[in-house]
Amino acid sequence: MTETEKEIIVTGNEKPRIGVFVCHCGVNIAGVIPIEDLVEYAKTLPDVVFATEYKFMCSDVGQTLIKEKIQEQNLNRVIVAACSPRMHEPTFRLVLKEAGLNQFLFEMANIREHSSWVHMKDPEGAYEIAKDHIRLAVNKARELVPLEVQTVEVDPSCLIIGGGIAGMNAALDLATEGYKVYLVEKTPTIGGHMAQLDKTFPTMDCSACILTPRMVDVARNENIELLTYSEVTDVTGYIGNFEVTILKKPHYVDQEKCTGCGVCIDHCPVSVGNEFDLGLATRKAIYIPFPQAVPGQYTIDMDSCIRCGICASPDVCEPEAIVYDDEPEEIKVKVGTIIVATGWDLYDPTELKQYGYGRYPNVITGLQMERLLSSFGPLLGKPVRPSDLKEPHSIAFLQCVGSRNFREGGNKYCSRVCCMYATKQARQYKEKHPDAEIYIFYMDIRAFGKGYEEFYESAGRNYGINYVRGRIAEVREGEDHKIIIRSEDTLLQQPIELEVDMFVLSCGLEPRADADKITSLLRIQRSGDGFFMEAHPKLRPVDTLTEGIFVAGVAQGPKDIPDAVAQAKGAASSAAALMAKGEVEVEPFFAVVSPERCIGCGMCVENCAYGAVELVEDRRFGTIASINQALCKGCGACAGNCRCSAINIKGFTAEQIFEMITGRF
Amino acid sequence: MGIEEENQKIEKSIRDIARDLLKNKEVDVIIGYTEGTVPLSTSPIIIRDEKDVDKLVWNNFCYINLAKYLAPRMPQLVDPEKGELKVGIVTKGCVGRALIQLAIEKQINLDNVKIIGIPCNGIVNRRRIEKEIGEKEILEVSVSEDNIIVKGKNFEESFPFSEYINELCKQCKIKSPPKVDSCVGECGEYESVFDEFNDVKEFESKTPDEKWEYINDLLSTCTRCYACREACPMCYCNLCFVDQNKPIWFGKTTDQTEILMFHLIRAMHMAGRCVACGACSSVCPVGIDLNLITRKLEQMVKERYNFTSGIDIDKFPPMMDFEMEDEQEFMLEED
Repeated sequence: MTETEKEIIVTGNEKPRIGVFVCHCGVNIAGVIPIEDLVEYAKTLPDVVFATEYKFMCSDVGQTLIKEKIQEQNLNRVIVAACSPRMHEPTFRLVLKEAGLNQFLFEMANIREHSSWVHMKDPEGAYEIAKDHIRLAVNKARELVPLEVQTVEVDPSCLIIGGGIAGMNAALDLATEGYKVYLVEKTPTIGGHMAQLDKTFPTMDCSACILTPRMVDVARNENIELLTYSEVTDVTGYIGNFEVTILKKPHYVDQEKCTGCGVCIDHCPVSVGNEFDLGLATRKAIYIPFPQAVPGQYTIDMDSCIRCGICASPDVCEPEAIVYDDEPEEIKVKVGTIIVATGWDLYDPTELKQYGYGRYPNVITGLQMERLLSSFGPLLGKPVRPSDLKEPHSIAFLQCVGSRNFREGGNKYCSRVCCMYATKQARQYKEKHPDAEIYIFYMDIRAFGKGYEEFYESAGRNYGINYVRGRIAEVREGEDHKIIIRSEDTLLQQPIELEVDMFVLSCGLEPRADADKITSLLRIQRSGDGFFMEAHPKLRPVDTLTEGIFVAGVAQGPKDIPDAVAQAKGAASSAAALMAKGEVEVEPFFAVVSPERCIGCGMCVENCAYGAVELVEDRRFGTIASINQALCKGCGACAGNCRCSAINIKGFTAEQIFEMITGRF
Repeated sequence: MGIEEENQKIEKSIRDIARDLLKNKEVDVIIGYTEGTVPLSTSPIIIRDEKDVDKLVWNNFCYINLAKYLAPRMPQLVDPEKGELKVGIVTKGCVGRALIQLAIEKQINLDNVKIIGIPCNGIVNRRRIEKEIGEKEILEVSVSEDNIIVKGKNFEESFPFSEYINELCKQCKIKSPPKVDSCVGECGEYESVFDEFNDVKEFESKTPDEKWEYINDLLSTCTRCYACREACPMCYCNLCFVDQNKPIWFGKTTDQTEILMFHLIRAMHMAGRCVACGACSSVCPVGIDLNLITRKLEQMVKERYNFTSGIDIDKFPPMMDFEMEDEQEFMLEED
């Protein structure tokens, strides 16, 4: 299709000439509603000068038909009666544009979702409703006025929140494409949860071996500004122009002077549980999270530091890098796009008292098992029971701990990784201890990824891991801290009691405990499960509903490493698409203030979820509200709340909606 | 102390404070009440000179909410050169609440307002007394001891004061204005106000159908003169929704539907903002008790959000506020 030369000028004052195009949508609409009758009805409506039908209006032929008729019939308003505007409104708006008509002189009547689909068993009722929809659309169309699309510039830089595998991959992709990246990580090192893993299913490659080179790449890349031990404290602005405030927490160690010799660690008298090893090992108050940490910076944990001053003495720290009075530093950056990759927290099984976590020493979580299996973990890859440090002969795993729980307050979703990680851990242990007895208690085994089913099959067949279908009712501690499990084998339909040396809870993934903070900082939404919500579950899986902000990795929902990386690359690509173009079109459906009606009460300022409204001093009207069009999403909260009706949403003005409801019948 | 004596005491304190404020040039003008031109009523007055302070009065007919004259400012209160004049305002509890609410809504600047706080002792329900007197002309009304004495040609009737004040005043817990920085005179501290809402209990007990009938009946005599809107300190829009013509939300007639539309939309606009001064009912020429609607709203806002309007200058009314964490169980059904 080519753009026509002829532009149709519409001021909004001339008599409307409306064309109604009714779509069959195959049999979706035509199978229920008599299309011919609908077309005839449309012709009787005021200002409708033309009406016709076609099998698929969205097809090339259908679009050409609309374009031809706009010119032939001199149409200045177009209505397509078809499906939901969500999918095809942009399609038809483009048709108008190509025909030389302002694309906002278009209205869609949804006679599929709102009529033929929901009332397919009542064709007569569906027909009546379809007529109503067309009449309302005609009423509104008569009030439509041309609108102009606005553009805003997009700064070629991206803020990535979270330095796990997803955030790192997104950062590397964007940096390679030449965009400036600010990678903010709240812990002292990047790497995220993946750094804690030993091997990765189903290929069994070592997590650290594939992760650490990426970490180094991130640190070395000149386009990436790595801000570890930092947190985003404020975000203002809008797509293309976000102003971000980042707080760099004090390390209490001068990173310029520190040579990383590690003598301070040898001398520090304070030992506390190491977060990285989930409390299975200790670290000192001055520490580096793990040997391969990037950046390899030493940090003093001031919560446990007793300020004895030993590390600061020149005998210990020769370069005198210890700074006890280190201050937090605030930096401000401007970015065009934001990617949220904040990851996940492990479900805390303490509240499930029946499984004895926290009460019996030999009950551990899957992530603790991962650290025990890790070759650079506290036990160098030789798991032992916490109670007596002996190698367990029998281990039971319980699946779906904190997942697929439909009781009040439980996580209803499947965490998607636990079946596979439990299988992997079981196989790893079996490799080293072929005589060991391993039981995996499950509800269903979900092995859906590439190579996963084969991996699971082989675990039973080649490794002799026992899969028991049934949830464990309770566990208690037997002699010698052994764990006695009571369950039902639902396949054999009989109760079983089993004594094992160690019991591993395959805990699920949860949204970050501080996800609320990110939600309010970035004004993005969360879905019912608490993870950040994507704009569309299928077609816009990395976008959020706030333009210019994308989401990647487990922050959006539980996923394994390949999926997290794929989504990160998707988010990077979407962000890059905005920045490559350099500017973005903003739909003109934003709020406008009628200054003569506005009384400046500021209610709209408080009500706006996007921070798009502010009070300004007007020369003629005094204090009035003013809308930032780039920030406004056109949600209408301000308009609905304005007692003086001083705010209207373009494309959905009070007159237009009022006409829809009350217009000529 | 009898009501009469109380009134004299309040009146004296108003005059003393007003005289001081004018003498010390702390304010340019004083807004207060003066004797009315008809019985059962008082008029608002603006005083600029300290020799006029004796015109200020206090009695139980001071039903006007003086905050009305500040938002938007009457032309008399704005100097072409100096801008907004500094105003001292005679403030009973509900006027104080209105001032605070207007300050929250950014309509007035309290720095320019001196609040002359007084402990209000109740406002007479003038419409009820008029109704009971009937056709006869009232020529003189006074409060003596604990009775309201109504005199006319060939008759004199007495009404017990405590019974014949506004229902609102009987329930009122905020007699003196809530304390703010610019208070002089008597002000009170109110953190959380306990209100039983006894005056809406009877309405509460009705079925939805009975309520609908009651409201219809209550409003059926409305002539849409908009006196309620004009007296209300919280009605300050440049263009009221009933006067808009683009679009014309609904017609201008006294058809029952349109009367209802006016009052119900106005009630929505008042939710969480009404300061329960009762001015609307007092000025209604056909004696409609609008307080029932506004009190019911006040009760709902109190129960749902634990909010009382006009007592805390730092607290936004719930209908004006937005938090991500706001309860929304009434619009979203949890699965």
